[in-house]
Amino acid sequence: MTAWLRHHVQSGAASVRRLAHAPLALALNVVAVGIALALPLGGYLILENLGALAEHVGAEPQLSVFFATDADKADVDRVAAELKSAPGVRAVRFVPRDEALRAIERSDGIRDIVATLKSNPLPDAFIVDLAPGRADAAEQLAAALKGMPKVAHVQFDAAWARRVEGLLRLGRLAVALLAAVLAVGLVAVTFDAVRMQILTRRDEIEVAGLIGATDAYIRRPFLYQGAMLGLLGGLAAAAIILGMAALLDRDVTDLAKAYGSDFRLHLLPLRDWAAVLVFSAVIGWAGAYGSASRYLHSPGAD
Amino acid sequence: MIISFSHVNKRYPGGYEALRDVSFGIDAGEMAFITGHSGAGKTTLLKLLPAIERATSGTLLINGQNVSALRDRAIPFLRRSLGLVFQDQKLLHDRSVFDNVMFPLSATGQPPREAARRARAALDKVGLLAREKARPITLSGGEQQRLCVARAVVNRPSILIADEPTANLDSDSAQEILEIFRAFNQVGVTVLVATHDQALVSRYASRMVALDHGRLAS
Repeated sequence: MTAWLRHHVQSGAASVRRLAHAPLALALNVVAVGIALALPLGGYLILENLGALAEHVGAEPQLSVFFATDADKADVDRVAAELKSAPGVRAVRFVPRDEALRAIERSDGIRDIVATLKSNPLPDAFIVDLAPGRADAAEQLAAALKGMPKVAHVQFDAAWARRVEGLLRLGRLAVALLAAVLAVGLVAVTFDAVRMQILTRRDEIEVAGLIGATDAYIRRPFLYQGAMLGLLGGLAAAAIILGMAALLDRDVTDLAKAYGSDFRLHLLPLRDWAAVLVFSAVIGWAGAYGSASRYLHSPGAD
Repeated sequence: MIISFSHVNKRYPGGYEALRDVSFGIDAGEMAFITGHSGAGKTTLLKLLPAIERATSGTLLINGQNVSALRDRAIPFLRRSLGLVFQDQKLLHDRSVFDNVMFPLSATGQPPREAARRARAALDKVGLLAREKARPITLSGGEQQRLCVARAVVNRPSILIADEPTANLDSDSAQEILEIFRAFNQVGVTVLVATHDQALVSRYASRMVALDHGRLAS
């Protein structure tokens, strides 16, 4: 057990030394891994921001329920209860007809017209904020509400919500596919980097095998190297994306301001960055494992 | 018997038959020479012991363990019980004499302090303690071969196996190496040496196993 632990520490330390020993090769590999990781990471960041932007500019779906003018409190309560139990409802605001009329009276020009009215022509209404990304549920809700007594009209812009949702879903799928393809590329990069390391140390590997070192022992330092290469690549990717975001931030803010919005580019939560680093280290480890195992099983193959 | 060959055949891919129906045994504590012309199968025979090569048929027992049927995962542990001196030495030239001898100990997880003590003891036995910081490339041929022996015995194997350990040495150095083997044999290590040099080994009253075209010569 202590021998095993000691070897882990030794392997870790030795791989740091070996990586530092060939700084140019290390730098090239880290850049390759970093750029490959930066592509899907950047895509993910853009999508997250588009999603946030969509919410920001009110792409958040909203549903309005207008009652018939002769609706009474029981009708309103029924709909209120329905809204309370419906999934995907974020907030419900009731606008009584009197309040609606007062709101209209406040606007210039209309006040005079309103004054000529004998009675209030406006209905009671609910304004319902829906959670984004649940267009199906929202449509079902709209249909259900339409069928309720004394509900005159339900307004829901399904097309817009669906389009935004569909685009975001498509984008996420594209990023996931890109990440999957590039993950294979990353395995290949670390596979080859570790293969180079193995070839420069094949005498040592051969002797180690002949004197009774286990495959796990021989493989271990290379696994550390692969994982470290992946981790450094992940850090490089994070640096690339953060650098780009910093460059874009002012322009995005200016553009948003021109549209009267205070939208700002926002970066990913710490959890996502940590996930990127873990992912890249695991990918590097996997590439190294494949490379070392292949060499151990058929040393003469290439 | 510590080593027992029974009807062992070895055919290489491509059809070359290196060993044919080889049967013999080595007793614990014995010192034996495998002799024969080059290509007689000496190296193949020695490679079967640490399972570097596997027999095509027949049974090879070491300490009662059937090497022919050993699983791959068990091979490292078999090799730790053997001391191997290779025909092509396989010294690591990127590290010192001392680190070459340390290598088998650290690769099998020995505690560093105890390992260093044993490495120095092994170097002392072959007369290289004073050169522990040198690089193997700066040693003479005889010294390099002695270094190989130190590396082979540092794990205290019960069996020492050497393939042509005197091949490229002058007769004095060759004599030295064989004396070292004999010293290990005298403290109970079973020693198996392959050599084509009949004149050299005839000075020892040791067991001879003669190979001729892959068969035991009578």
